[in-house]
Amino acid sequence: MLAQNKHTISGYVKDARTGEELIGAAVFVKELSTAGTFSNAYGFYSITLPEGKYNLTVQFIGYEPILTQLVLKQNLRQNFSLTEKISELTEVIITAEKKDENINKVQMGVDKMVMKEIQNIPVLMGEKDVLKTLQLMPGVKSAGEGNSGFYVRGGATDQNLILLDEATVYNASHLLGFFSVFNSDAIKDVTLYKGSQPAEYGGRLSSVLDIRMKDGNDKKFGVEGGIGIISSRLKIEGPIVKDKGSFTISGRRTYADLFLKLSSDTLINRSTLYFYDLNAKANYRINSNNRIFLSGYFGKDVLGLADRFAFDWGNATGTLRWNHLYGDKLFSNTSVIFSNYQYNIHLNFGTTKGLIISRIQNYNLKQDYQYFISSKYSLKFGFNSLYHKIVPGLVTLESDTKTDQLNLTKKYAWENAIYLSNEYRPFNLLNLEFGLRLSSFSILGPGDFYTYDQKGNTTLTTKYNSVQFVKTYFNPQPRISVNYILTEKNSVKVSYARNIQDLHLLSNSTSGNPTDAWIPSSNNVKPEIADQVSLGYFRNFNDNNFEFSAETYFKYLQNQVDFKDGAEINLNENVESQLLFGKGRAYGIEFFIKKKYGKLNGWLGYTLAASEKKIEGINNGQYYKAKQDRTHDLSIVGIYEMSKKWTVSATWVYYTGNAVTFPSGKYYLNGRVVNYYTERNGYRMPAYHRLDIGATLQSKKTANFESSWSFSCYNVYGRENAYSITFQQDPNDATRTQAIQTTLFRWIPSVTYNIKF
Amino acid sequence: MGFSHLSCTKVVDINLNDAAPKLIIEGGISDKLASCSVKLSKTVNFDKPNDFPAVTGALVTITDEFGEYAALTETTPGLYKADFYRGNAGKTYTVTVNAEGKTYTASSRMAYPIAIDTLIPQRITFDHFGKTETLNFVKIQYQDPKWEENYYHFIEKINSMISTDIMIDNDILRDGNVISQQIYSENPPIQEGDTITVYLQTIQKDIFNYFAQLSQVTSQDRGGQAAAPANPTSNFSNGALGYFSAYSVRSKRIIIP
Repeated sequence: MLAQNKHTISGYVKDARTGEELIGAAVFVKELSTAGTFSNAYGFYSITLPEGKYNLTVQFIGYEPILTQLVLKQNLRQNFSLTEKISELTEVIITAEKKDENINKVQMGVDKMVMKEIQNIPVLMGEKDVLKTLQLMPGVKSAGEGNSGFYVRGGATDQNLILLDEATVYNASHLLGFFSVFNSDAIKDVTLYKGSQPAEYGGRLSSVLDIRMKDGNDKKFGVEGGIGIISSRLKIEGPIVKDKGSFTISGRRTYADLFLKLSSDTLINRSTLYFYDLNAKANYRINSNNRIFLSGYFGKDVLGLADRFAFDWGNATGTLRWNHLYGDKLFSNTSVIFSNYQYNIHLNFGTTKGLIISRIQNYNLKQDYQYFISSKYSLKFGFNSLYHKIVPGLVTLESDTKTDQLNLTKKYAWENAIYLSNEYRPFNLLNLEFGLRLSSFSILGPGDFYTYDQKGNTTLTTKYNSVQFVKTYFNPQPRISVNYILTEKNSVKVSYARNIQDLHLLSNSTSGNPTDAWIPSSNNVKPEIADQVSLGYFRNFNDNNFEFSAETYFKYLQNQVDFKDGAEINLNENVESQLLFGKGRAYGIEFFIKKKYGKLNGWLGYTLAASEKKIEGINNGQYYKAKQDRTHDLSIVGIYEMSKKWTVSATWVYYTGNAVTFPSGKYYLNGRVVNYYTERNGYRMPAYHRLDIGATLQSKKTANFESSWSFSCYNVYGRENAYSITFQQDPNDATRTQAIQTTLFRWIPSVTYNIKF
Repeated sequence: MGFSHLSCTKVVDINLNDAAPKLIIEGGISDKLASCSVKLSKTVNFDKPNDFPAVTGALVTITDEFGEYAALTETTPGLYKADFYRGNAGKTYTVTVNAEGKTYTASSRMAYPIAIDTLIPQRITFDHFGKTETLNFVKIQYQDPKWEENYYHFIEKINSMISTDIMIDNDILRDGNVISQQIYSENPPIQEGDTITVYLQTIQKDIFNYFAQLSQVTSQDRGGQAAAPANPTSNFSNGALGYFSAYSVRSKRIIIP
């Protein structure tokens, strides 16, 4: 038996025009159906094959595929530069890299978004928003108008790990959910895992949203921007050294508050409401085996009421990375990451002035390896060490006579994880991904730590100094995904994952709020645990023109947190005494059908699901609906390419309202009528639905200049969707009470003029 | 918010469940005469008129920790009083209610009184939609005792009408200070020539929490912003809602110039 020599072909897949590496490009060997891989987060691929002659295909959506023949006699470094397809407008919006990719990719419950295809979706106020588009997929639900955050498979808004170039983003929205913090001009790739996230990720229960920034055109300078009636944006990119390094800077600002200046009310016309954000990135290829990157994000929202009240909040992130290739099969990335989220509240009532500051930060050292062992087998392993620091609240009150200060105890924690993940394709039809993540979470001093009794009274206060470990939790998190291809067009996938969460968001309002408080696991609060099992069926039909999937999942949750009745959590040093703990469960089925090609394309997504909690002390210890329980969730998206210049689109969404607590009666006490409550979350908000439409006009397109107009209208039929329902005395009849519904938005039109050099 | 010109409100019809009527007890005793009273009523369905049925014929008694005991008599339907029974600061009082075959008890310790040092009228004028508006209010000052947790409940009487605003405070951040408190009344607003009486009650922590939670679920105040609205935690046993508060009270009166 002849022992065949094996050689490796490896390199990078890039965009021919800009030099940007393409993430998830398919590199496959025609002769060996098991031999193939997808380029990683840095565009790198590696395939090990026996000596011989091969036909390679390299494909990525929106680009002309490359077919090449090569003879493999020794290790070969081969980069591929793909050319964009000319008529992009017929491409699909969210899709696979090759026609049957969703069949082959093991990760079920993964939605990958390719940025160039987001252009035609109508979104709120004309902004191309990745989060808003993801919420049109089954299993991903908007938390509602005016709410930041989203729910994935019945999980709360804090259960999504949102990463921007590996840095944690704590609050992913501007202006309470109207815009996300992600400027789509600056983004290269968006991947959402709502099933079992692979072992390289950890820290949140329900999903991972991994967003990668563009690196910048390393061949020539470019400027891109848009001016709209509500916001404007600008991007500048170019080479640092041609073909070796590049940079990109993009910024946005809204000026919705300019409309406030038109008001005659002196309080309103001196008020401010805006946000701005900035994304910047630079990279340099030192040599063919080494490359460094530096990227960052800074954003701020400002809300001010004349000079009486000013509220600002925002994230800042920074990532420094070093890619290194050990030979042709071992890819390494080392990252040093910083992330900060802060809010400041300024109060000015003449003689009394106040300032409240709160912040959460982490410092992170991350090392990832990817070892492309053979055509059937590859390994990912590494470690992650995070140092968390939380300042729950620094309050300063100045009156004419004195200054008072309240400093809530700062929290420090150290989180570590190591992981090993294997991707194994034993034969053509079976793809396995299995791994283990081992994590530890330690809450550290300095500070006071409390023990409470059942009534919430402090029974013990222990002081720790800065080098002491108060409590450490260890958690193994197994992950496994199996993909079996039944026929060329059908596949099934099964997966199981355990996820742990050690940062918990306390939200004391009906909507997500920039002042929601993060607390770490502690001697009182245990890590939350989720075990999720999912099963999916995928099918392409009509010559791959249509894609269909049905996925079902069941999640069992432990150590879930909720509030005691009447809990006081604002600036409370003993906030942990206001919490109750128990279990939860979420289950559902998601349907998805997409038409991928043709002048008319689009998709329909429908989810039928439930999410419940069972906590001693709430609802008599019986299962009750979680706030984010939504029985039905339906999204329909249609895009029609009318001509080379005009494209129109429409989106219709419908969902069951959140579970809420409404009164079941009333009584009279202390000179007032008081609401009487029975079950928690026993009622529903009214169903939500709306239609958005949009149109894009490509006004000019030459080699050096492109311009277009985007028109959109949010909530075309002006439905009054309920933001909140409150119960009050009838102002016209003191002997009766009534329910009042508040709606935030009806029709919102928008126009933006876009240019690109 | 800035987007208010885009948003709107309207009255809606919500189908609310009919709940079985629940007993509500509102009880108090202070260090003054004619303060010992217990009011018994029931809940009604939300869509019905505000006709809250009184619970009559109940047996209501009060006792202190040494056994000094009084029976309250029903003066008007649902209202039980013992005008001659006055409390003393530092003692713990227990109320027992026997109504419709069930017994409910609650206890409360009477805190020591704090005098109002000064009560002065204040006025500010400001521009609102082009008109000049005047707001009259009062400011009180009192000495908070140091080294103890203190909880306060303010009642404001404008002429003969008691304001229904809930005004409570604690001494976090100001322990041992001379506390200055501005007291605003929206309902009714204060005019020149009004006689303002401010009562400063010193209360227990559980009653302070009760009133804090109460302001979140009151129909008058638009139902508040509570994430998990719930019935304020009652200190009564056996599932009765409401509260029983033993408190000391001091007051001061002025006329708005």
